[in-house]
Amino acid sequence: MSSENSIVEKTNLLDLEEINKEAEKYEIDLILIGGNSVRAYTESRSWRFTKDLDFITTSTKLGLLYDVLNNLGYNTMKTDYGLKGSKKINEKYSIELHISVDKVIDWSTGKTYILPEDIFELSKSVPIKASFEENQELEVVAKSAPIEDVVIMKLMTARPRDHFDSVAIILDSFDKLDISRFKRICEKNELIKTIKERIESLIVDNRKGIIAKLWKQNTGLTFIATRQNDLRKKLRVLLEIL
Amino acid sequence: MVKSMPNWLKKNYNSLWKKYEKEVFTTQNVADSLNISNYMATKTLWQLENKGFVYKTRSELDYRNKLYRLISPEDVRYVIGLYSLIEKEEFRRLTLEDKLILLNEKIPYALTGSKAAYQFHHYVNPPKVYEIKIRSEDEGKWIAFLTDKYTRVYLNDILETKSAKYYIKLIHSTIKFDDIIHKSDSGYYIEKIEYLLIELLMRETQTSIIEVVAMIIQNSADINWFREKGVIKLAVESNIIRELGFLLDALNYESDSSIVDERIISTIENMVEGNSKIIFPKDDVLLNRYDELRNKIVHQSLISKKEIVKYKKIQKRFEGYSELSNKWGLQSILPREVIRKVLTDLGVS
Repeated sequence: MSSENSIVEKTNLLDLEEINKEAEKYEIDLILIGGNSVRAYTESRSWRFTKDLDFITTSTKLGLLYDVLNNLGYNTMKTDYGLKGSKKINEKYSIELHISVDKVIDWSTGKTYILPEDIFELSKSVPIKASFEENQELEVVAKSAPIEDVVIMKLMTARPRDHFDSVAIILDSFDKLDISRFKRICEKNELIKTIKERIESLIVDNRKGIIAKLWKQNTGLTFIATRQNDLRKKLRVLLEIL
Repeated sequence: MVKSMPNWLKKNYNSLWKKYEKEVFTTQNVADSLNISNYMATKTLWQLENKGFVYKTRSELDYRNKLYRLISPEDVRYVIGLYSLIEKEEFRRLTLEDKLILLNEKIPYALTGSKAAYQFHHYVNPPKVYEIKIRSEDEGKWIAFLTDKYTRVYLNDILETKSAKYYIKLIHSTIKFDDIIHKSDSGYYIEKIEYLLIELLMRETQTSIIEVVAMIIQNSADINWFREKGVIKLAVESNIIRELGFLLDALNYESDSSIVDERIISTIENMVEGNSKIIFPKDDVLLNRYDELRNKIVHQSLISKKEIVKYKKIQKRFEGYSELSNKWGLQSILPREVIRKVLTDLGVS
């Protein structure tokens, strides 16, 4: 028998698949950011995402996207940042959907991330696996923001939770990171100073054991010394390039 | 029989129990006392460990140093008995949750932490670690019962040295289990929401506070606040009533509505007197960032005017609840976006 948890997850993933298909059909640029994109670049032990779906898109086909979501049963409304949708799964739970248009605004700092021109072109189709045992056969494919954009969006906020996400991506997928693109986007968004300061503070946090605490809060696991050293080296590489 | 030991292993286990009982030993000790090669000693321990008949810890100073402790023959027999009716194929397919359901009420337990909280909030996906409250006298049974090739059981820090499907953290508890358990939709026992709220609130990490807030938003009408074993009484017993009052007030303030019935907040307010030196939350990450910030602002001569403005702006994030802090006689360093984000994500505001 499926539990309520797995039904929520299943609906969420099937909707994600459907939205992705519809976007492709109508050639709408629509890619995942937020927790689901972190999932694409990290090991499952770091998955602490919400069931919400966070996307980015461009303003060109917004009207069409509005119709697609309404057809999928979402109550959609315009917001300051783009679109917001909500769909009830049952009496108690719903899926919330947020679509930022042309830029992403970070609540904690008020900073804006203007989407780079190549973000949709470089987006990656990634398999998103279910985390609940009952859904283990379920795997959907969706387009995720490139790793460089995900890392920058996570580093530019002031939320420790986002810093954990960025650390997990850096540790698990550093080889996939195009360092020159990383720098280029930071420059274009005038974020060099912000990102540099953040990386410097993460290096200090790593040395002081703060990252280890953040790691434990989010994964329940101990941050072992080899991982601490690995992180130090990778953060140094990023810092040097900036 | 799926948890049995081949004869050679049983013989080695019995000899080791005779010598060490519940004392700790090393691989070298095994080789010496059984008069076997280091290779055979390692194989013996590896087999026992995978079956859950020995508990392994690693030295905090050097992870390569391993210490072992045997699970008692009584506990081993009990677990072999529990699994005796299960066919080998069925055993291989058992998930951790299936095991907990299989156990039913034979050994008391309560799943706690994020895994249990998720059942109530369906918000942030829980980590892979299952935290289970148990009676200390059942520790050996739990280790033997849960351990298999997919599952690693720990009594303290969980080291991710080898990837496992399930990480289990056993937490000794003296609490009366009948009071705290609630049967989940899936059929295993989780901690009741009232106890879980207090458990997570007491952890005072940003993550645990997010889970507390999400649980309240999703269940506020169903929570026992006032009665015996209700949240308010438990918070008083756990000496966390002031923090609870503050958090509930902040939740209503951010949502601009009465997610939590105002009577609950006024009842708590009447129980809290004067000021305290409490900083809330005592999250190490937040505390560290806040301290660093204060140090920078104190030493203003070392920074530019622009930086002072920037740091003061950040300081405001941490001190966003100054009025509520005064009302509840504590110092909040909880950034306002923490509660706001949960509210938005859950479609409340």
